[in-house]
Amino acid sequence: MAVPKWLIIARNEYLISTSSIRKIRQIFPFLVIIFLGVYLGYIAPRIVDVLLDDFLLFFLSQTALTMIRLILFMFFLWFIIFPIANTLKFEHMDNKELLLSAPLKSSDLLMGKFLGQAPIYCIFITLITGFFTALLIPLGIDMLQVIIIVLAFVLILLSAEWIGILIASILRTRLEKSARGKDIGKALSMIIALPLIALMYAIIGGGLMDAVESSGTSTPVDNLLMMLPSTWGANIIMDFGLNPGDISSVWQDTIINFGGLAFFFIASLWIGSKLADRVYSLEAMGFSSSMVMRDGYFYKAIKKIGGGQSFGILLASAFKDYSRRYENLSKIIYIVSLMIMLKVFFGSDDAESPLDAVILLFFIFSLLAAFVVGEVTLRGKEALFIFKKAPSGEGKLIKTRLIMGLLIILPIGVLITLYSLIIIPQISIIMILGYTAVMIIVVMSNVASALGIAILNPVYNEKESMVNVMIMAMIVPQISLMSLIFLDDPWNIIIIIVTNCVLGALLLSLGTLKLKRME
Amino acid sequence: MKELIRTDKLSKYYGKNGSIKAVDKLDLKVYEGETFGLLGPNGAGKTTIIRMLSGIISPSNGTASVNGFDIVKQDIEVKRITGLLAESPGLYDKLSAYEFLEFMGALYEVPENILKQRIDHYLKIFALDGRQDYLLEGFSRGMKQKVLIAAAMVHDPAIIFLDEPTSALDPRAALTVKHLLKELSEDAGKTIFVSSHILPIIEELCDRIGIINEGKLITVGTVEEILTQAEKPTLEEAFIAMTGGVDKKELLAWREQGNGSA
Repeated sequence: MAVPKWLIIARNEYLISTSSIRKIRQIFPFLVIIFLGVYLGYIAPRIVDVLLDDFLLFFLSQTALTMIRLILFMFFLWFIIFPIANTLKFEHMDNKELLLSAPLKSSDLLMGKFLGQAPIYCIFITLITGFFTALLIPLGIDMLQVIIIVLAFVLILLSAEWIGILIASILRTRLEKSARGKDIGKALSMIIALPLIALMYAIIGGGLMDAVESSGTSTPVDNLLMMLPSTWGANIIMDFGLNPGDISSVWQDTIINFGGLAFFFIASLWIGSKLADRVYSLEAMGFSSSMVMRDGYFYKAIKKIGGGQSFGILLASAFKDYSRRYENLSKIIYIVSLMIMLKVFFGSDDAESPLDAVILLFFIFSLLAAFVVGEVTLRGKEALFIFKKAPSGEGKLIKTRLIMGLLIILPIGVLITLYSLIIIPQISIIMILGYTAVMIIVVMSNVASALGIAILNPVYNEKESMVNVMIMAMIVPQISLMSLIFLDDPWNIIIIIVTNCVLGALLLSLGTLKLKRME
Repeated sequence: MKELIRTDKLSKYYGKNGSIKAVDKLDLKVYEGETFGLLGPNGAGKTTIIRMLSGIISPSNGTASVNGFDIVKQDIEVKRITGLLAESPGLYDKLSAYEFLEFMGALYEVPENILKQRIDHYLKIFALDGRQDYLLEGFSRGMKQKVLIAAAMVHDPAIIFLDEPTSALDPRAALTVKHLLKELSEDAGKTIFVSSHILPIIEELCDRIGIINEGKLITVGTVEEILTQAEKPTLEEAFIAMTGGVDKKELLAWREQGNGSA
């Protein structure tokens, strides 16, 4: 009997998802099962053991139902967003025509993709479910209740994965028709998670719990959440938690909620299969290509900043190439939004010193520098060779990128630093100006360090570039802030400035040397 | 005639202890105003030679000079007087055709007033003047190749290196390039160093040809000299004979051994 087509696609998807661990692919499922077994049987109960008393109090509170609904909604959203964000990076672009030219139904393609990725998602589902069941078992829920909870999680999160894959495929088909569409997709993949992060921050540190508590049990949030399958799962958890070992007293609600989940899962699979033909298409949506205007005041000003003449043109060209990519702009939006959210949800108005108020900015500015100037190698080695071929081209590249990075990051850095300092009560103007000057030096050093790291470890695709981002965002600020452990004001500030400058100069020099030797 | 390019045991090795010989002891002379063609199968070392001669990478051994400038010690001068169309060139696809040529001119420090004239000239030659303000991301491969050829010439170099210049072009665009290269060589006196797999282009354009295989130069001469040396009637057959090709009969031999169909 012929193997079903969706199974062939699913197997292929699985091989693609696990390509980075192909050496242990054969034993990977067993390793995962062992790990999950240890997690469910040992790690999760130990973790929740610490939280158990607080959890019991929380479970009996008025906010418990809404909070569990919100938490499940967050997971539901995350499982939808993840495949979308992943797909819109447009990393595996070449196989679509290959698949569509084969005798396959679109529904086979979609189902294969879903099933192929499902094992990886199931690992996350187990981790989440294991945590919840470990919390509920001490309350006295029986095995049948545990099984129903596990199945509810599987139905909720696999529905979300399916919806995510469906939306991702539709978006990809619509966006991949043009270079601008792809660019929009990449930008979207970066910022799509922001609402989820905002919700997460609001739950953890933003007083969402308090807001829910003070507004009573039937809030607009509750009413909105009632429409979602994640809420039906939360209802089951609450019913079982309040009636442990006694499923008979909530059997009607359980049937309604669980039946709703099963119906939702099957219905979404059916509707998705029917939509599959619209999901996969190679037909062009249009043949428009973007036209640019002749240089306006902005680019003329950039040329002037670059001293006019040849270097002015180089600087303006770098700006054009950078700013016309929505993906680049989305990274700046992502970082700035993250910074605002941290300030809003976790920020404290009563910072003890100006240094406390700006300490987080050391990490954020490093991240911003890594994103902005770290993309220097992402256009590929051949794009670097254009500079290498030109007389003194390496120096021109470094100078261009350095100035471009500073022009983009410095204004953002100054504004955010000023805001962070101004909100400190009774801070003097001198202090504000002094610390802003310190942060300007830090930002400038960060730009140099990020550029140096990007060239020292050149990566030519988005995925691998995250290594450089992590080095820049985690290691560089920690080195520069080391003096805080053993020095007091003002020596620690002086050491921070010196360390940043030395790091920036060193990494940039090494990067320049590497660029000259690059083959 | 003046020797414009001269290599002396020029070599480039990669891998542990230089085990991979990308280019091995290349001795070559190219004269002023000449169009020189480099033929070789994939991985023969053509791109490495062009990269060394245009100052992008350094040789492992041996020396070379371009217009009297040492490619290692005077690489900046070498870069200034040479233009390069790379095999798989980088392209700033968020720039328009005009902006990209402006950027390339600025890299080679072409004065602004001359640069504008030159860009307009090349856009017209390649029939891109109506598309000059469109982003390169929307261009076809052939159109991009035209822009890249213009970019290689925008600083008016004395020597132009072209690595597979017509491989992505349609016949009309390929003909334009061919005519342009002829004009550059005959009328403007440029020295052109071109590598290509497309034998008729090399045969028609080049004054002399070098055949390279596994990093070693096998032969250099005019087409007639190579045909005589290989005792073959066509350049294609001479090339196959010298570099070792697959016999046509071998290609479908598997059909006779098995069922002959899937």
